[in-house]
Amino acid sequence: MTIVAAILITAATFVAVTFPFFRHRRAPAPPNRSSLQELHLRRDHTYALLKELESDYQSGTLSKEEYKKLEAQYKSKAVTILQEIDGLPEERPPAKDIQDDIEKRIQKIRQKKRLVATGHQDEIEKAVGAIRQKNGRFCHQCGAEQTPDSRFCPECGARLTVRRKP
Amino acid sequence: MADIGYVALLLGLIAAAYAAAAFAFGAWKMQPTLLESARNSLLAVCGLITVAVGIMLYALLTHQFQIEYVAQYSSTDMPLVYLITSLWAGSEGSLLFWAWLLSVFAAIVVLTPRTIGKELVPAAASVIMLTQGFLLILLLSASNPFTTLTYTPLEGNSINPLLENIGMVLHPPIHFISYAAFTIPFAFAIAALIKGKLGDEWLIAIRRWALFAWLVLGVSLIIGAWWAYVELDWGGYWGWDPVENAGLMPWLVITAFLHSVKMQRRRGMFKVWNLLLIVLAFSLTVFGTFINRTGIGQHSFPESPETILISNLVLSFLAIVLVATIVLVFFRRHQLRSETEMDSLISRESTFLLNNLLLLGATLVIFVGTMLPTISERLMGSAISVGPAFFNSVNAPLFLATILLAGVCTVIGWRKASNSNLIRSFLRPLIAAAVLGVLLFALGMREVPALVAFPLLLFVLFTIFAEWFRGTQSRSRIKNENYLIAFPRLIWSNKPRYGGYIVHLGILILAMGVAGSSVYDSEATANIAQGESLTVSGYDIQFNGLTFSSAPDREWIVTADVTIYKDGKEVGNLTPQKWLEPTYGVVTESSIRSTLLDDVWVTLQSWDETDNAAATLRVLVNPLVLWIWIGGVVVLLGGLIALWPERRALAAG
Repeated sequence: MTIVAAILITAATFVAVTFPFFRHRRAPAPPNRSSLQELHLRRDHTYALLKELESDYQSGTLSKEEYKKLEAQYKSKAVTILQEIDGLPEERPPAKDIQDDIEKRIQKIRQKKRLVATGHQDEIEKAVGAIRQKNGRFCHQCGAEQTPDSRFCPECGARLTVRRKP
Repeated sequence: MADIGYVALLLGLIAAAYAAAAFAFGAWKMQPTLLESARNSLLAVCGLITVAVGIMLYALLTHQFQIEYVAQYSSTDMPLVYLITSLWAGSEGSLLFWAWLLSVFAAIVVLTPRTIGKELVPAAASVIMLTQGFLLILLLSASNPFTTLTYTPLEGNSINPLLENIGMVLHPPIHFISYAAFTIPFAFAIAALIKGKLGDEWLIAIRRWALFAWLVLGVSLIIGAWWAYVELDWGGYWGWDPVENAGLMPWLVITAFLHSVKMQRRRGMFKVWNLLLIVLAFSLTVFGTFINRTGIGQHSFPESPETILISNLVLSFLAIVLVATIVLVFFRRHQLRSETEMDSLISRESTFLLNNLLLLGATLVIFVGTMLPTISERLMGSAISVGPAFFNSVNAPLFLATILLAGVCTVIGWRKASNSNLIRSFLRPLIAAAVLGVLLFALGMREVPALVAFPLLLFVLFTIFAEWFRGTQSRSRIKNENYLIAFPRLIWSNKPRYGGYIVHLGILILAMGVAGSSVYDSEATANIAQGESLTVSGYDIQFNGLTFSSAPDREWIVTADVTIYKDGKEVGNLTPQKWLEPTYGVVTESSIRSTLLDDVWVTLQSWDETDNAAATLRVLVNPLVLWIWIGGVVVLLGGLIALWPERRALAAG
């Protein structure tokens, strides 16, 4: 009984460990996607720091001069990240992801608007615009991504109107 | 059956070694297939140790006394829940439990989808598997829980009755959860060094783990203190014994880390420092096992071959960790330069640095105090030990200074603090503290430690409230919310920050309890006749008589009936007990009346056996002890708020 059990767990371990070598290799995930996500997260962290700085300034913990200095520092960091995002090679994530992304940004802008009117919104606005521009247009009926020249949606068949500027 | 457990651990060691090597090689040569195999191997380690733990639990529940561990830590008359807790009642079992937790955390690390720090995972997993391998080597050599006896005893030793308490159910597992969790930040720190990615990535990847380990260890320390207080025939909650110190040291270091990490995130400073703090905290948890297992500092344990083997293994592992860290830091020294210099002595940076130095200073004091008996025995042949008085007198000022800094830091802005800022922020808290100090003095308080501690705590409390008030005010102005809505939203808008303030608040409450109970405790032990009473700091403790009874597992039980009077009015009734457990001996159970103002703690020491008309009672009156536990709950609450998941997109860290 003990020997059988020992053989069984040994075999199970061996199979689990060697299994990946006997399987067809999947295409490795494109590296761009993860680095884009990472840049987005880093950008958001920098925005959050800016937000905190702002509230410290508003509540009087920071003097105006210190606030300006630090703000400039964080902003230049944010700009570097945004430039890196723009500099990434063209890549088309699935339509749903782009929409989620845009949704999130809009939410963020709304939140920011509620907090204070500051300069960083413009940057977000720009970033949203850039993504929209980059990724063409979407069906107004089902939300599927469209190629610039299609006149009907291949997903639901709805007629596609001329795209308005965002 | 014990053999299957042993085989599972042995296979676990092989799989862990393979995973460590495959992760390292796969990451180096960029081989996704090898990495996948390494990941499966890591998950297999988790499965194998789970099998071993399952077998041990099964053996405990079905009383397989041929396994030495089962015979030693469980018996047939134990209730189910304590049979389960027997898993961590002994050192072999607790090491097995620790190894299992680490394997579960390792599985969580590799299965967590992450965007930041993804490329650190293989190297970190490799480090975790090396640590796992070390624990498995301990389990397979000097600390084998599956050792069998040559005969099968009919009954096992039950555990120490003092351990049969809710504390036993909660304290050890929580403690080991935190110890296992300390490995994860350590692994990422080493991974960051290996990969040369020393920016924010690793800090973001481990923020939650470090906070989690810190919070769980803190909770464990508080539960341990509470357990000792209610259960032991002692009446104290913290005795600076080596086991307690072993838990406190990594907690202090990780507290320092949680503060200095803010500096790296905001200002790009303290990079090496943060790495070293994490490595130090992890090393101290490993060292804690060493202290617990070898009985360092407690008394000269008989040195069995097992203890010597364990000491050698643990010390070698620590040596490897430290040397590897130093070598890696040396190779990466150029990437570890600070991005900004410190601007001024009076700034948040400097208060953070000072806070770190104080916390590490306290850690060093505790380390030296704990190790002194061992070191002096080795060097001079006789053990010199320091008592709680040493720890209290050195650490109390260090801890008070740390708490004071929490207040100073709250009001000082980042970078250089301007004079007007300083005056404006400090004036009101200082006035409040001064008023309290004068008031306490006028009321007759003459004890210097208390006259320093209470105003200082109030000062820090004021700075926190002032910060919250200013934040609420500005939010309410900007967003047009009334204060009652603006305040909770303010806290929720930046959970790591405001959770941190709530933790500070909890620490203040806890410190108030500690200050009150250590400066103003009073104690009396007296033999009193039935109907007579004993007076301790305003309380009259009347002894009403003894009752004798018995229970299935207790040969006899003696219960003293005690009534407490204050100013002539009856305020409570206590029933301290003594009983005999055949397998263990005489047990003394205290009885406590807790109020927000003070605790009355009574034990029955002995009684006049000729006519049972007199008894010796030990009475302690400990002011403000309840606040220690309340403070602990507030710390937990603040920690949970800081840990609360943020919406990804807005996470500040």
